[in-house]
Amino acid sequence: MSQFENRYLCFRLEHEVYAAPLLDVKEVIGIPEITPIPQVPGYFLGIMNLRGQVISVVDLRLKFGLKATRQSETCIIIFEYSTFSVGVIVDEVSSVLSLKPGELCAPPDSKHTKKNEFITGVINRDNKMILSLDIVRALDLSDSSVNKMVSQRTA
Amino acid sequence: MDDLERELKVGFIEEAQQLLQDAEQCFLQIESNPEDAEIINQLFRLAHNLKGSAKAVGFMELGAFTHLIESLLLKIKAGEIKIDSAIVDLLLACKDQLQIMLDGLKLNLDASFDCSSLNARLEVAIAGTAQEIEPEIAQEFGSDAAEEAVVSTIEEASHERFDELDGIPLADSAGFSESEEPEETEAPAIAMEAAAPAPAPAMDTATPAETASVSASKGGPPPATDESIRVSLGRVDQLINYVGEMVILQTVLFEQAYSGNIELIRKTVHQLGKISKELQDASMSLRMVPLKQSFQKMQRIVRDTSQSLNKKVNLVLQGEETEVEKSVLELIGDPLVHLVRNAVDHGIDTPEERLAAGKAETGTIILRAFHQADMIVLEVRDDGKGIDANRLRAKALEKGILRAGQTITDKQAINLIFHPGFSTKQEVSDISGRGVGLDVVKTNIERLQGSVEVSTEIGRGSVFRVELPLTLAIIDATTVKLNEQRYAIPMSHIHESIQVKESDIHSSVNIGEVVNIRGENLKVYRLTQLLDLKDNMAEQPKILLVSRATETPFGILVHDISSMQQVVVKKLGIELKNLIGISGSAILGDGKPALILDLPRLIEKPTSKIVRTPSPVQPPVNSQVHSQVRRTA
Repeated sequence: MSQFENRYLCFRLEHEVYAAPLLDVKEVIGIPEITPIPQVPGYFLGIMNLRGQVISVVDLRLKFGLKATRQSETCIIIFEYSTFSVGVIVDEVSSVLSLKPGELCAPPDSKHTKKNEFITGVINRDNKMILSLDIVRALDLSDSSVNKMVSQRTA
Repeated sequence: MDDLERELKVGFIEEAQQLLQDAEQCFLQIESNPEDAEIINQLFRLAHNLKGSAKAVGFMELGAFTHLIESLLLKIKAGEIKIDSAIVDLLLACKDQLQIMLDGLKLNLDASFDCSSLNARLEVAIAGTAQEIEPEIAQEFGSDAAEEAVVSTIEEASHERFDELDGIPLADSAGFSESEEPEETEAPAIAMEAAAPAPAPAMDTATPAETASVSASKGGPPPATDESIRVSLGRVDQLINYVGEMVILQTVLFEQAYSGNIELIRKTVHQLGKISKELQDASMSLRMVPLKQSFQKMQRIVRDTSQSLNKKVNLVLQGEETEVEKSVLELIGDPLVHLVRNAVDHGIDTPEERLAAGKAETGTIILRAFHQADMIVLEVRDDGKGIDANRLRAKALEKGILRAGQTITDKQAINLIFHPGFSTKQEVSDISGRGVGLDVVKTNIERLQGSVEVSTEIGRGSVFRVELPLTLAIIDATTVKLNEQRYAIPMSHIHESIQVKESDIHSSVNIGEVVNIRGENLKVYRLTQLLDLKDNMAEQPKILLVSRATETPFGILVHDISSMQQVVVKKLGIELKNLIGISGSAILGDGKPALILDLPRLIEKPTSKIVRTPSPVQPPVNSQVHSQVRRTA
C-alpha cells in the first residue's frame, strides 16, 4: 500500500471542512476565466482552459446550497479520474491529512442516507469534524445522471 | 495475468492486424497470379510469423488454427494443391475467422473461439480434396460457428461436445476424399499425415482449468487497449528537429527579454511563430495515414459482390498514397464500402447488357483519391448504365415523395437517390436495394463535415464524388459574440451571412419566425433562445446566418460576427457528452475556451417555451458567472 493512499486533501466550504483522497487531486489553481455552458444546472459553472485541456468547472458550494463568495483564498481543485477531469471551486484549501488507521469512521446513520451517500466517512481531529467526500457522487457526474440532468433541463 | 503478459498480448494483436491486412492482399493477388511463387512465399512467411507469435504470447487456439493454414500453404507452395477460386475463398474465410478471433481477443484477452467448421474445411483441403466439402458438414458446423465465433465462456459440457464433433470432420473428410476422388490415391495418406502434426483443433486446447479462468475474468471490464498508429521515423525526426529549434528560440527569447531590445524580441517572436506553425503541421502529419488500407479492402468487396451478382468487374485504384487523418479514415470506411457496393450492384450492368450496348464485357470501377485545397476528394466512377432521371421521377411519384404535377430538374431527380427510403431496385437483394443506404452514406459524410455529389450520364456511367475535410481536429469557424461569450460555428454549416432588420422578420404563432431571402422562406431561430440565454433588448440581432447543412435550410439570428478563424477542436469531457447541439470546444486567442455549436443538432433540440421578456434583464444580485447560464423560464 502506498504511503499516499491514506492521505487526504482538506478544504473548506463556508464553515465546513471536507476532505478528498489526495491521489485524485491533480493540482490546485486560482480561478481562471470560465466559459458558461447552456443546458446544465446552476452549480455547473462551465469550462476552463487548463494548459490546452478543456475541463468542466463546478461550484461545490452552490451544489450544497452554500453561499458562493469570491475571496482571495477561493480556488479550484482539479480532480483527475480515469475517464475525466473536473475542476471544483472551494473556499479554501487548508491542509493535507495523513490518516491513522481507524481514524476514518463511518458516517452517522440518518434517515436521509440516500441523500448523503457521497459522504464516505467522518474524521475527528483537534475537536473538529471533517467529512470525507466522494466527489464524483457528490456532483452527480456519473454518466447516467448527467444524461438525466440534461433531459430534465430540456424536458 | 501480469502486466508484461498483457502488454505482450496487446502488442501481438496489433501486429497480427497488420499481418492479416498484408495477407488479404496476397490472397487476392494469387487469384489472378496463381503462378507467382513470391506471393506464396510471402503468405507462408506471414502465416509462420503469426503462428510463432501467437504461440509465444500464449494464444494457443490462434496458434493451432494458423498452423493449419500454414500446412495448407505449405502444400500450395510445394505445388501439391492448385490454386483456384475455391482455395482462395477458403483462405479468405480463414482470414475472416482470424479477424473475428483478433477482435474477440481485443475485447477479452482470455476469449475462446470455435473454428471447428473451418478446421474441417482446412483439413479437407490439406488432404487434397480442395473441392467443396459436404454441405451437411458445412451447415452442421458452420451454422453456430458464425454466431458464436466469439465465445468468451464455455461450459464444460459443451466443451466436451465440441471435442466429439471435432473428430467427425476428420473421419468424414478422409472417407469422402476416397470415394469422391479416386484418382488421388494418396489422399487418405496425406490426411493422416496432416492430421498427425495438427491434432489440436482450437477447442481441444482449452483445458478445463483455462475455462475456469475465463469465467472468472468474465465479470471484469474489457482491458482498455490504447490504439496505436504507424509513423515513419522520418516524421518523428522532423518533429524532434522542430522541437529542438523551438527550445533554442525560447532560450534566445529568455536572454533577449532581459536585454530589453524590443526589436530583437519582435524578430524572435516572429520566428517562434513560424516554428509553431511548422510544429503544428508536423504533429498533425503524425496522425495522417495513407488511404491504402481502406482502398485495398475494396478489392475484396468488389470481388465478393460481383461474384454473387454474376457480374464482371475490374476495380482500379488510384491515389492510394493520399493521406488522411486517422479518425477520418475510420469514419469513411463504411460509406466508401457502401458506395463501391452500390456501384457494383446498381452501376455496373450485367455482362449481357454490356455486350448488347457495345461495351467491354468486364465493367470498370475506378476508385480515386486526391487532395483539393483543404479537402480530400474520393471518387467512385463506374462505366455502367448511369442513372435515369425519369425513372427516379416515376419512382418518387409512386412512393409519394413527389406530388403529382410537381416538377423537378434532372439534377434534383438524381439527388432523390439520397432520399431516405428510396430505392429503385425491384427486389431486395443482399447487396443493396433495401432503400437504406445512400441516405445513410450522405448522413455519415455530412457528419464528417463533408459532402457527396453524384453526376451521371445514361449508358456511360456515374461518378460519386465525396469531399471530406483533411482533418477533424482543426476546422474553419466563425465566432459570434453573445452576452460577452463567444461561440464558434463551423464554416461548413454556414452557407452565407446576411444583414437583416427586425422588420424583415415575420412572426406567426403557428410557424414561428420566418424571413424571406430572395424568394425563399426560411425558418429563423434566435441563437439566444437556442442557448437559453436572455435577449439583450438594447441590441437587436442583425445578422442572419443561413445554413444549408440540412435538407431544409434555416437561418440563425446572431448579434455580431467577431471573427473567422481556424480553431483546434477540443472534445468536452464525458460528463458533458449529452449536451445537445454542442460538438466540442475551442480555445480562442484570449486563452478562454469557447463552445463549438452544431447548428443542425441545436435547432432539433426540444427548446423550452421561452417568452421573450420585454423588460431589460436585472443584473444578478450576487454577480456570479453561472448566472448567465440560468434559464429565463
